[in-house]
Amino acid sequence: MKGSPTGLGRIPGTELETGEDWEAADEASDEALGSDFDAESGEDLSAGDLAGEDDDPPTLPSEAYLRGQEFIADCIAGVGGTRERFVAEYGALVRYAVARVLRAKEPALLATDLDDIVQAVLLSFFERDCRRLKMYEGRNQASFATFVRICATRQTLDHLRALRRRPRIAADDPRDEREEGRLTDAVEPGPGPEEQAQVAERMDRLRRAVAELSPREQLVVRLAFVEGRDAPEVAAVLGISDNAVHVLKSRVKSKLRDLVGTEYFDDE
Amino acid sequence: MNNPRNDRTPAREMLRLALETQSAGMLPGDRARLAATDVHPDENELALYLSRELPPQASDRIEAHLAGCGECTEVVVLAAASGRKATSGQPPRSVARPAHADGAAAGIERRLSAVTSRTRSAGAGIEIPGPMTAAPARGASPAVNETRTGRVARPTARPARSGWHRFRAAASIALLLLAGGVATAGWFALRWAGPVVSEKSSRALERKVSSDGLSVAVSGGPGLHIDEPRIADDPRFSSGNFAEASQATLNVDPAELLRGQLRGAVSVSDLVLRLVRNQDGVWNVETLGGERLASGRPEGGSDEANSGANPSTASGAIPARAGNGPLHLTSANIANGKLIIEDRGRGTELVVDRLEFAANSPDAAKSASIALTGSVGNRTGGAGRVSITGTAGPFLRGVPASYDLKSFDLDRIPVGAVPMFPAALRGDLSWHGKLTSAGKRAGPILDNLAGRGDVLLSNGGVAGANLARLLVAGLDARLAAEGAIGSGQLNALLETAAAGVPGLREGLAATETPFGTVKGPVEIGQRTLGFKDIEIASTLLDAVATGTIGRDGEVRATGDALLAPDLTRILLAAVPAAASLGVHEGRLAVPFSLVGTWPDLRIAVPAAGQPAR
Repeated sequence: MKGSPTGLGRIPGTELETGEDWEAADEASDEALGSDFDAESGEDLSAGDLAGEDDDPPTLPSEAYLRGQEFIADCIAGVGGTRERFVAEYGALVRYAVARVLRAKEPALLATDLDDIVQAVLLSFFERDCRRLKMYEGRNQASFATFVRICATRQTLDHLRALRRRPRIAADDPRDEREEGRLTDAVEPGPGPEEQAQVAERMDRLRRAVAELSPREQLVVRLAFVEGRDAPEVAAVLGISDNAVHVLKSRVKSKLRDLVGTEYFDDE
Repeated sequence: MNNPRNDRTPAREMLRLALETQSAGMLPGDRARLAATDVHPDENELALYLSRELPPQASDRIEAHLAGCGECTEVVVLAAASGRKATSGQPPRSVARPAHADGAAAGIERRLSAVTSRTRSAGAGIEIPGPMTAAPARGASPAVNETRTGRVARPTARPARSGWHRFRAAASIALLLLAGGVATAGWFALRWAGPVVSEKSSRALERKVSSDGLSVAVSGGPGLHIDEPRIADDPRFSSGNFAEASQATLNVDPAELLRGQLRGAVSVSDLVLRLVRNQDGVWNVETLGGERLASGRPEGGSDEANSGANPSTASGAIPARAGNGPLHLTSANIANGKLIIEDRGRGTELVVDRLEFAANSPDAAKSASIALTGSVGNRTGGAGRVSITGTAGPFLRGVPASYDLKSFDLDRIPVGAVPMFPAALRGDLSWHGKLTSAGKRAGPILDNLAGRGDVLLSNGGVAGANLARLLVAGLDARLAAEGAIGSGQLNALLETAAAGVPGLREGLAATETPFGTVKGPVEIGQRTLGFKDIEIASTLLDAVATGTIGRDGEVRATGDALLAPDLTRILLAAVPAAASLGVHEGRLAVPFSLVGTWPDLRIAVPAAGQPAR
């Protein structure tokens, strides 16, 4: 494995600004921990990456993997300098993940809250006896970079939700799922009992139909038909190709069509 | 980024509500109950899900949760998006860094130092219970590390105890190494030892064993260099060498030597190992030690009582010996090796080049950890890679060895050259997954293979049956049953209409199923290979299928296909009633079920309202 003498491939710069560089940092951080299968793309099944370029001598992946495990263990144990190195090497990835969320949800906060959230996320790995780091279970060889991204994303979303609970932001955000009343507003039955009964019956039929679907198909329903995500987004979550997403969407529609009609697939 | 969630219609809201309440059987609006009963997966579970490392059931559980939980779905969608490679050509916008943030890095360092110093001032590094309280020095025992991390122990700086590998098939090498140790310790006369070692090795292997000479090794502890060791092949297979190397070195542990134990490490440079499978399916490695069956290949586990070598052990080149042998090998290494696998029955040859292999065995009664990498291709140079880590053994008399390959990765291996793969299959194979097996011979080891992983077959085909044509036949039967066309009419209509569309007629007339990619998770069982939502992309259709393939070629699968736009257009022009199946983005959606034994397959397209699965 290429990288620093410690075996932890140094992320090229912790102050990277461009998306390409951040993605390179992401890959580098995965490499640093010896997790070489890029499951996010679902396309790179390359074991060749393990050994670097053709001109490089092949290396044993277990060694690199265990070096990554050793690094995390040292971070947890507080071995001198490892936590600072963790910040230096994963700060870039955390910053990128946080920025992605802010850009998607609250772009205005990029200028004001980004650094605070990044700091909070990085510190959260070491707080409460490194609870988060301990949570990572490398025995299944999950990508540590993916784990870091998940942590950063979830914490950023939590941060935004906390902000929304403050009046100034809650008022102008139409997307808060936790806003009580929105759901019932959206499916607010008509005033008459007959109409209410109709809605209830439709709801019951719909629930039964959805229950017939496999978990994966249900997730496709949520992503594609409820949230209106496009095929690449759905594909990234499910780890399949865009074409397969189309096939799954078609399958779901076919299954539900006879049971509940087509009105729920208005994205088409 | 656009946010489609702004566009909320009542229909979407009802669909969402149905998802969020269907599993718990809740009434609409009962969200508090949902929150109380639903346990969100933690970050590690979500990371495993996105890393595709969860077993199918656990993955289903996560997907079921995500379907009903907007919060977790949002986390996963955003995390997946930030992990996606920039394939769209539209890199994310740069993140503006405000001037006031210049001190951010210093800030995090300060706060981190505060956390660290606060916890350290408590006198226990950080507040970690049990063995984690004090920061152990590097090289602490595996037990400590395992407790500390809850996972694979990192390698220790020094093995706790010496161990040894046993492979009966390569017992002669053990004898060679034994002789080396004796020569070092007892000042043997090397000119005398060489022929003795060769003779004993030859007798044990029933193969001619020779070398260009022995010399004493000094560096790395007392040891022995063997120059150009060679093991001749079984003359029934070839007149050349079964194995040869430029040099083999044995270093023994002097402390163990004083205790009367011969323990050591062996390293082999430039090993060339030739595995040959003859027309009867017998491997030359199986005849090592003179235990070869007269003809025929061992069946199933029936020959487990027989001892012998297998390709894995041979490729590992770990000396084998059942029982308490005279030599305990704590490690074995091969540098710059080459493995040539020749299948004469199929006329193929696979070369694994630049082979790097390492094995460590801390305890002779337990499995050894192994790691292997190499380049794979044909004689003109390898484009693919193989990488394996896991454990193998123990290799004890009368007990089949176990293999637990925690990571088995193949990258663009020409599948046609891999022995025992179906001859009908061509293309480049990539695989990422885990495999386990047990056995003493190649046959049982292969028969006992089990595991799961992600497969990617690219730019290939499967000879013998054309699934697109079979699908058209199934569609014909379905439409004929509905009275839309006469039986057998669809094929004739398509043949005529497809004449003007380049590639379409040829695609339908082909006697194989060509594919761009076949990709997805598979589960290898002892009798079947199961696949779930595997994707097949070809010029005529894209399909997602779930099912099994038996070792005898029996196929059972159900799935859904989207026909290519050209094929859809022609088909709908010929039979407009086919649109009743559903058209998705200009492509006809066709559910199907597939049964039969390859290549004798049959595809049925279920009637409306009748599920394919």
